[in-house]
Amino acid sequence: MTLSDVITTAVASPIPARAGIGLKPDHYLEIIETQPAVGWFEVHAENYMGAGGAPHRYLTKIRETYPLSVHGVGLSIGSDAPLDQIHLARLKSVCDRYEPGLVSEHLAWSTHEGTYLNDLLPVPYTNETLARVCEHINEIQTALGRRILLENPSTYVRFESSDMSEIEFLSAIATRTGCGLLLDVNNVYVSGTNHGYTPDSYIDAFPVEHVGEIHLGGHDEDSDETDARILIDAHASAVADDVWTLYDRAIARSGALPTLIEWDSHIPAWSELFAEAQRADEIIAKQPSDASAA
Amino acid sequence: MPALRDLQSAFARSLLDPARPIPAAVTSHTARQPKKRFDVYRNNVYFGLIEALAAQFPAIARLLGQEMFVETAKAYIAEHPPTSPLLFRYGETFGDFLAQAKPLEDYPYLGDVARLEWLWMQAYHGADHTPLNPEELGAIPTDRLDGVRFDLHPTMRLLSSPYPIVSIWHTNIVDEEVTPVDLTQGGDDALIMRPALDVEIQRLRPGAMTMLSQLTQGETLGRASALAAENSDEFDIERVLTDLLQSSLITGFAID
Amino acid sequence: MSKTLKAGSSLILAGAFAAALTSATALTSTNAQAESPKDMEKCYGVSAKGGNDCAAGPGTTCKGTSVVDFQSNAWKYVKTGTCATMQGAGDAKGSLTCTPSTNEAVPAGARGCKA
Repeated sequence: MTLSDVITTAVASPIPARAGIGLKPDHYLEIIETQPAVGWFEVHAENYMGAGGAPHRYLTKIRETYPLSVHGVGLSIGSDAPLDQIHLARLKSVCDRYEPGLVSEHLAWSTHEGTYLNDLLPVPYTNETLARVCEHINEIQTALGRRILLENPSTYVRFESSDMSEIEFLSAIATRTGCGLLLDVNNVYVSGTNHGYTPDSYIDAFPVEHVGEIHLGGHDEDSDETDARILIDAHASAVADDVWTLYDRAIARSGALPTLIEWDSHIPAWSELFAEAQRADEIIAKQPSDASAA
Repeated sequence: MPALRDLQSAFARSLLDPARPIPAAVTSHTARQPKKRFDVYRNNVYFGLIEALAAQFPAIARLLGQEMFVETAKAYIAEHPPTSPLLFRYGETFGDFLAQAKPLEDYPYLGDVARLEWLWMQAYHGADHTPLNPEELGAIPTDRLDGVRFDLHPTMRLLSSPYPIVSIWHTNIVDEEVTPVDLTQGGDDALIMRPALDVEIQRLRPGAMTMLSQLTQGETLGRASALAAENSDEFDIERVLTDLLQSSLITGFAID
Repeated sequence: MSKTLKAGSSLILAGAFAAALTSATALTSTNAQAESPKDMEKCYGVSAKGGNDCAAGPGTTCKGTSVVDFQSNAWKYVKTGTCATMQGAGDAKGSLTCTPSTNEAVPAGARGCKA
């Protein structure tokens, strides 16, 4: 089955090539009351998988005004084990309910033998993993009846068994499954620093023709036992200046793309988040508007 | 040999148990066995789940205080890691864990307070349902009330405790400075529900617990109130019915 | 005053239901008036915090990396919470001292016991 067979419906409300903001309950009321000029919002799918109540009420209201992107964190695409069919059905029902312009997930695993480990864990880049991940993505795209985007991970360790680069791995997935890629520029910076390669070279080699969305977020810093820097993908602060610079480089290659500001803990006032989005919008506005790759 | 499965099993085992060595397959460009880097993952798992439990059980977090809450949560996570990727479904057995935890044996009410908070979160995410309004209920012929069976709101749950859990929960959730609760004042029967968007927790009047659980099981109003009266001398049918109707608990009815 | 109800007293039931309906109707109409579009919390409900996200925790050296034998007798409840405010349950008032176990490496800020 090819991807064109599974795509049955046109996207109701596409995500514009502008800045979007990760939606947090802390800002529901202010958004509804003030209708800020934000291009779109993104939610973590799992937080809207309950049956009813306030989360759905707020999101439904916000969805009336803004395009929405749905970002899953719990499908565990990188697991060797089969996908959780119940969870996949939940994701489908969130998509049916909100008709998101984009749906994305992570190149990571988080469930093992029935235990949910609540983190985006790394996979070895081998042919075995590649085959398994492609199988899972085909299954998801078939179930949802649409293309998804897969996000490059932030990682803290490497595996002895990896025999291809992360970029080779992601390119092969996109080619084999027809899925798009979500380029998280902060993750590039974090992983590059953590594994001793230059983030610039990663961006320069990334298959931007597959990219449908960009993420920007803040990171924390620590060090290992050799006093080498470790960066942590904490989403608890503003986007770092180095990451903004890297974003300039990425978007110069890809052209204007929807770009999300992610901020998941120590959530700031709406105005601070909005200012980050405006900064991204200014950068996007300088790009040729027809260069969008995906 | 499925290398990926073996690797993930080893990774998962080391992740949840910090006493284990890090998996042999893990390396880095600096240290060959990068324990501190692997600890980032361990920390993410525990930190994220402690935060999740603190969000699910805010009264327990306040009752225990941050330091003890963290230790308690860590012990719970190690023994009972989540089985669902939905974090709002995590912690169903936290109340049982607290009730049996040795270091907390002098605080036997904690288990029921946690059970109450669990039910709060489940009601918060529960299914929406429009309750009947008083006019619709007024359509029941008075001579048929004995035989009426009510459908109650799908988010409604009942919890009976020998401790004053509604008072303890309430002061720890709403009061800036906690009001002392006399633990000898007797137990609470609690009603948890979300008729519209806000979760409500009420202390039930005497006999109401019996009546509501009978109604939930599909018993008729006549039989349920008779049983409530048998169980409690203080059962006041008019006040309990008033509470029931004002709480927007009834979503449908059938007459025998 | 308590009105008790014996099995089969449908007259009491009818009277009680009618009275309850009257008070409930009065309350419902008051609530309807109070709900205005300006009152957003009322229209949309309290939003609980927490939930899933894709953020990492802070750093390498705290919550997930210490080992404590929680169930051991070395642990007793600590003063920092409001537990101590709840009065009258057996030993509760007197059990506020504790001995931290010695074989653990809890970082500052995550230790359960303070002398």
